[in-house]
Parts: sequence; C-alpha cells; structure tokens
Amino acid sequence: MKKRKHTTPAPAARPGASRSVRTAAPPATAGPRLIEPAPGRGGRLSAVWIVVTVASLCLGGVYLIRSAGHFDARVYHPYRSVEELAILQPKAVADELHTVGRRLYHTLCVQCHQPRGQGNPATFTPPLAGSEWVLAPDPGRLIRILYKGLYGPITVNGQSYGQAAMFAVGDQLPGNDDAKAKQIAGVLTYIRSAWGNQAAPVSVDQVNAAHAQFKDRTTPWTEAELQAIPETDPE
Amino acid sequence: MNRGPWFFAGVLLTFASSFGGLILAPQLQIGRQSVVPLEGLGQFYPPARPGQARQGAAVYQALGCVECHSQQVRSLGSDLQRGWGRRMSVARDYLRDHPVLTGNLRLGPDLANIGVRLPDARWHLLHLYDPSSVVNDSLMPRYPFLFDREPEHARFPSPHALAMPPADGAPQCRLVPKPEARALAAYLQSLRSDVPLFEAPILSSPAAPEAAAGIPGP
Amino acid sequence: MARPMSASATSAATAAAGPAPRDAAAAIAVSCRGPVVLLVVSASVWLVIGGVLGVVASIQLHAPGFLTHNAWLTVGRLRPASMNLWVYGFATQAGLGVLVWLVARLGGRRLLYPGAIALGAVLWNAGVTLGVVGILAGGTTGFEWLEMPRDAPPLLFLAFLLMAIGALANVVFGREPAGSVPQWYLVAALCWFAWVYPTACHLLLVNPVRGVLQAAVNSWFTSNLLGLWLTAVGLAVVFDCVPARAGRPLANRGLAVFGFWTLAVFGSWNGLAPWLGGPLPRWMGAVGVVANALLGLSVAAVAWNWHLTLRGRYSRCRTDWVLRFVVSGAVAYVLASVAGFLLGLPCLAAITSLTLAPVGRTQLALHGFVGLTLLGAIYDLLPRLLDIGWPSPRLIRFHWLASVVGVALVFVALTLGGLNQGLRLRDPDASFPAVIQSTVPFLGNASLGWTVWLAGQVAFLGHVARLLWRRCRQASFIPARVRTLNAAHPSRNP
Repeated sequence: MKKRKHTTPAPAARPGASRSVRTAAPPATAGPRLIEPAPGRGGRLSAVWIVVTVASLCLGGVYLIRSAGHFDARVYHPYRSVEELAILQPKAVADELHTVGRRLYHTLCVQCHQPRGQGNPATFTPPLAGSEWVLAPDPGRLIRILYKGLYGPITVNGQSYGQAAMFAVGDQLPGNDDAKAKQIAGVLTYIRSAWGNQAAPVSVDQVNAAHAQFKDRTTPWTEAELQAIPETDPE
Repeated sequence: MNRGPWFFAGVLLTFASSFGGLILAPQLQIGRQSVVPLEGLGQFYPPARPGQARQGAAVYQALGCVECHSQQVRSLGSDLQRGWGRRMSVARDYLRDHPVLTGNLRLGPDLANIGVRLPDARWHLLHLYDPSSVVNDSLMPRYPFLFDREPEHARFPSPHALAMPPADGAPQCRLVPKPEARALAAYLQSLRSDVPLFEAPILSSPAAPEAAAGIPGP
Repeated sequence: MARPMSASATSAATAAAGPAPRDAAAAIAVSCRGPVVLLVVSASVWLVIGGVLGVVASIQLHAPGFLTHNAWLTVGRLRPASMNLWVYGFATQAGLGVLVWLVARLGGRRLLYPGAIALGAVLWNAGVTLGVVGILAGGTTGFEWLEMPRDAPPLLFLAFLLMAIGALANVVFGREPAGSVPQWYLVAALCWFAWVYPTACHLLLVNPVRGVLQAAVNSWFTSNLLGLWLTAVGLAVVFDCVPARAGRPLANRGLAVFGFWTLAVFGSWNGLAPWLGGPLPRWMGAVGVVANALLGLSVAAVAWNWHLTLRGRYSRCRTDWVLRFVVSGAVAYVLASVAGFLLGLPCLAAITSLTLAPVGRTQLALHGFVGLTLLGAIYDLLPRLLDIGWPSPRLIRFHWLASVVGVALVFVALTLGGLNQGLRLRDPDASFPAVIQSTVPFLGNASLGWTVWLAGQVAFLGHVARLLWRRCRQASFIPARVRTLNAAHPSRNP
C-alpha cells in the first residue's frame, strides 16, 4: 500500500459529519470542525511494541517446545511425548490376554451377559460381575463351562436362573487348540478383572491343564456336575 | 513507490501460512490414518456402522443434536472420572464419521460412549419421546414427532410398540417409534470408542493418567 | 504522522476545492445507492428474522417444552438457522454493503460496476434464503456456520465474487491513492473471505477430508470468518469513523500498521485453540493457544490507537449517534478480545471448554462488535445515500440502548453460566442433569437479553422502513440523481 509522506494535515471543514444524522442528533459543535492532530506519538511505532512482541514470541516458542508434544501426531493431551506413551502400553502377557479377552467378550459374550456383565434375568443369563462362580480362586469350573457349555438351572449369588443355556464357546472359536486356549484364558482373565471383579488372571497353561481332563466330553455341563468338581487352589 | 503488490503478497502469505500450518500439515500427518485391525478377531476399529445406525446418524445430523451434545471425551476436566469414556477421544475414533459431529457445547452429556453406557434401545426411545420420564431434571426437549401412537389393543400391533411413559396421561395407547426414531436409537447404541490405541491407552485407574505416568499436570 | 484518513480525507479535499468536489461526493453517494441500499436493507430484514429465530431457540434451551411438536421448530434447527441468518444474512451482507460504500468513498470516484454488485446482492439473498430454509427442513450439513445445505454455498460464493471483484475494482481504479487504514482492512477482508469460505466448503462438503480433520477445518473456518473477515470489516468501520468524528487524524499510523499485521498473522493461526485437550494432536491446540495469546498484541495496539485518537473527545458520543454506535462496538471488540484471550489460556480453558462461556464470548464479538459497528455505519451511510435524515432520534436512542443492554445481558449471563457449569462439572460426583439445571437462570437471563436486543432491532427495521417511505414520497416525480445534484446542496450547507 502506498504510505503517505509525513504531512501536516490541513485544517478542513467537515460537512459530512454534521449531515449524517442531522435530523436525529446535531453534532456537539455546530459549523465546521477542525481536523487537528491527535495527542500521540505521530506515525512512528514505539520500540516498546516491538520488544513486547519479540518477548511474547519467545515465550510462545518456549511453550511450544515444552508443550506441543514435539509436533508428533500420536501425542494427545495429557501426554507429552511418544516415550511416555510407550511406557503406558500394555506389555505383559497378562495384559495381552486381557486385551484379547476384552475384545472377545464384547463381540460374543456381551449379547447375553451385557456390557457390564450384569446378566439378563429375562434370558436366564446370570451376572458375571460379582458372581461367586467367576471369582472362585480356581478357574476350573469356568474353563469347563466355556469349552462345553452349560445347561439347566443354576444359582448365582443366591438367585436361581431357571433355564440357563450357554453354548459351548470353545467349539465356536476360530483357530487351533492353542488359539482357543489363549482366547479362553483371555476372556476369563478379562471377566475376572472387569466391573469391579478382582480375581487372579487365568493363564494358558491353566486352561490347557484343565482341558486335558475333559477333552472328550460332548455334552454341556449341569450345575450339579460342576459342583462335584473339587475346588482346589491354583498353583 | 507503490506498495499495493507487497500488501497483497503479505496478506496472502500470512494467510497461506495458516492454511499450511493448520490444514495442510494436519492433513499430511493424520489425513491418511487407517482403521486398526483388532487382534485375532478379523475386525477393525473403528467398526463400520450397520445400515440402520448409518441412517440414524443422518437423523442425528438433521435434528441438530450436535448443538447441545458433544462426541469427544476430553482429558481436561472430569470426563474420565464421570465414566463418559475409559480413555480420551483421539483422531482415529472418527475415521468412519461424516460429518464428524464432535460438537462444541455440552448442554447435554457427552455421547462418545453412549452405546456402552446405555445399551438399551428402549431406554433411548422412551428418552427421545419424553426425556424427563427417564432422567430426572432433564432439560432436553421432547421429540414427539418421531413417534406414532396405537391403541392398547390394536388389531395388528406394531412389533416395535412401547408402553407409554406413565406421566403422559394416555394409558390407552402404546407408543410406536417411527423408523427415524429407531434408526436414531440404533445410532446411539453404536456410539462407542473404548478400544485401547497406542495414542490412547486405557489405564487401570481412570482418575490418574498423569499419576500413572509420573508426570506433573498440564 | 498520518494525513486524515477516510472521510476526513475526502472532506478535506472537499473543503479545499469548494463546492464542485462536494458535488462529486454527492455523486459518489448516489452512484452507490442501488447496490448498497439493497444490501443494507435486506440485511436489516434478515437481522430481525434471525433475531426472532434466535429468541425462540434461546428460550427452548431452558424451557424444553416450548414449541417441540414440529421438527422445523426444534432447537437443533432454529439455533443454526438463526446463527446463519446472523452471519450471512446480516453481518456479511451489511458488511459488504458498508464495504462497497467505503471503497467508493475512499477511492473518491463514482462506484464502478454497480450492476454487478447489485446482481451479487440479489444472488446472495437467494442463497441465504435457500440455505436457511434448507436448515429448517433438516438439510443441515452439521458443520458450524456451514450448516446450509450443499446447494447454497456455490450460489453464495458466486454472489460474493461478483461483489468482491466490483469492490476491488473500486480500490484499484480509485482516484485517491489507495493506502488508508480502512482500505487495508477492507481489501484484506475480501481476500480472506475469498480464501476461507470456498476452501472450507470444498474440504467439508465437496471433497471432505477424513475423520477429525473435518472438525479442525471447521474450527479454522469459523475462527477466520469471525476473526478475520467480519472483524476486519468492523475494524475498517471503526478506523474510518473514529478519526473523522473525533475531528482528528488517526493518532499513530505506525501502530495501525503493527495492529494490522499482527491480526493478519495471529488472527489466522488461533482457530484450533479450543481443541487443547480434545481429539486433535496436542501440538494443534498448543499452536492455537499461543496464537490466541499473541493476538492480544494486535487488540492492544488497535485499541490504544483509537483511545489516543479519541482522547478528550469521548463526550462527542453523547450527541453523535454514529460515533456512539461505533465506539460501543469498539468497546465490545476489546471486551470480546479480552474474554477470548482469557478463555484461551489453558488453565481457564480446562474449566470453560465446551460450556456456555465461549458461546457468550462469540455472541459478544458478533452482536456487540460486528453488529454495533455495522449498525453505526448504516446510520451514517443511509442518510448520505438517500439524502434524507433519520426521522426519529428517539428510535435511534432506543435502538442503541436495547442493543447494548441486550448484548451485555447475553454476554454476562452466558459467561457466568459457563463458569458455573464448568466449575460444577469439575466434581465428578455432581450429577450432570443437576448441573445443567443450575444453568437455567443464566440461560433465562440470556433469553431476556435476546428479547431486549430483538426489540431494538425491530425498532431499527421500522425506522429504516420509515426512512425509505419518506424518501419514496419525496422523490415521487423528480429523478433522484438530478434532484440530488442540483437541488439538494443549498439546503445542506449549515
């Protein structure tokens, strides 16, 4: 843009201003007004502005260096760096089983047992959250139910579920025996630690050991049969 | 000297810098993000919405629900402790959405995980018909135009009919949600973002993402 | 040291050369009459319609049973419809009208291409109508301030191009050398809108970006539409009006240069500040936060410059209604900027993000700053263009009072309501519906504010109608141009 030279403004009449709202409000001073210079520093920018701007830019730069996550797209508030995120990743086997189990639960089991494991009396589905069956120290009975299913009445937390009928999950899972054992261990680990449950995780070895005892069974379990299995502490 | 061209260049350059920094750079960084496979399940996150839920997204959009509801769990504030999500929302959660309705005002609760928190379609339908019948103190408007009524003993009862909320004063009728209402409920049921991702791990205690990492607050 | 800018520049020339240039000034005003009056009057109509929808939507927020039996009248449609009417129907349209008038006057030459500009105005109104009916019918796109269905934006952009090219031609081919402060803002405003609007439409509606980037583009768009386009037009009005009506040149031209370029840089970078802690990578929110804080420099420079120019002359606001509107708008600009600065600080944003407080801040910027300055400019230009005075000073006084009180009430109510909401929500055990119930008194006061504000705008529209009606009666048999050029001048001299 064209910058005008430093000129002293000529005194000038301002007919326009007095016209604009003339009916409504005549200006304070009738007649022509003088254009006079405002009290100020003229056309120069005070150095203070430049100094303050540079200082603010520096402060902003410091903030960005400290707090912009090194401009990495994987860093979201409240995390500060990728290294910090790496520490938080699930790394132990138990965590991996938990993840596998959680996904499996929320695709397969959730339809009857509900997202929070609260069960559904209308379909005779007992709850998993807080259930003494789930929280038992030895997961042997749970492993049996998952592999071969369950049929008939069952009592959970003192409430009877008349016609419970759980299908044999083990038969439905994809993969070979090892993959099945891993998924069953995962889902058991998950339901034993979710929704306030606090029981020990279930390892793949535990699942395989228990499975070896009833491998050839073809029918679902009943409550009485399961109760008959001795409850032992896991090693 | 005529400074006009310099002025134009300055205006365009400053604005181009903002376009480059706030549009192009993010596009290069996260514009080509892809869905993540879920181990062992043959599925992907975020999942594709079923057809009815997709129709419901259009209803959600057309009714302007975004004016009062957000769909983003934030790490600031009490979102996580409130149970609105098990982790904060990140870019990948929105890959299947168009338009992305993150919202910028919360006169209603956040809906990013409403499908987990309230999985029951009947609850959503009753809530749409008369929010205060299921939520005390609700300030949400009613959406009666999403419903029809049918007599209690209709000759061909609708399979979707619901009992009227008791306060409605029409005990002889049953509530029949229109297809839009059922689609909207299906959409709400489909809203969930609770799969752990690298950039958004799920921590055991939702209260302490910072304590767990051993770092001071923001 | 600057020469007197804008109106004063024109009038200085006018006074020096005697009556002939004053004829030229009148001729410029007459040449602007068609397109500018069309833009300004249709903007005033949208102002009132949008205000009615806005009041209903505001009441619905705290009285959920109000008008719920029809999908057209749900709050989810009325609220975006009223905002779009405000942004496109009133602010952008009136802004273009004022802009056309300013570039013609500052260029010192009769308006070039009035036909193209008028055609643009007609198309613009067609686009706004189409878009708002589309929103009410449920065709909203879901993007803030771009809710209009996909058919409307091409029409709006075509209309904008017609008007913008016409206006730019008047800058480039003006008789007076271009270079005054308002001209910087006006030219830059046209460039900014011409870039940001089609870009956002393209990246959101035509060839959408994926995922959450849509939200980022949307924020970039809204912040630029308000913070650059509408703000620049409003600032141009203030920079034009304040020196002219204070009877002094602008105090410090260097400071004006500084204020302009800091706005150009930081104003375009602050769009993602509200996303700190949200689903965008951390650096985007952080960059926005820094730019938002640095934008304070621009506001401080601009406000200080105005203050120096007006020092000792504030009392003129008492009698000069145009100055009163414009200065009120300038005060609203400073307040809204301070609020924006504070709400952008991470410590406060942690409390107020996603609450009513940012809404209140936006409404202050829109209805306080942009609205009051544009209304002031309209009070200035309509009498010049039509060569007739406003019929009723009382209506102007009422309009000003209602607008200021209404906007202040809305701003205070929403800000306090947002703070209340944010502070209570920090407690994870507080029930969400109970927290929202506790904002009802604040929302109620905001509705009251909107109602007062709307009353003022209705008075304004009635006043404009009276002005036009008088003008039509006066002009019945004499062709306007002849009458203005030959007959009007003697009566105009004091």
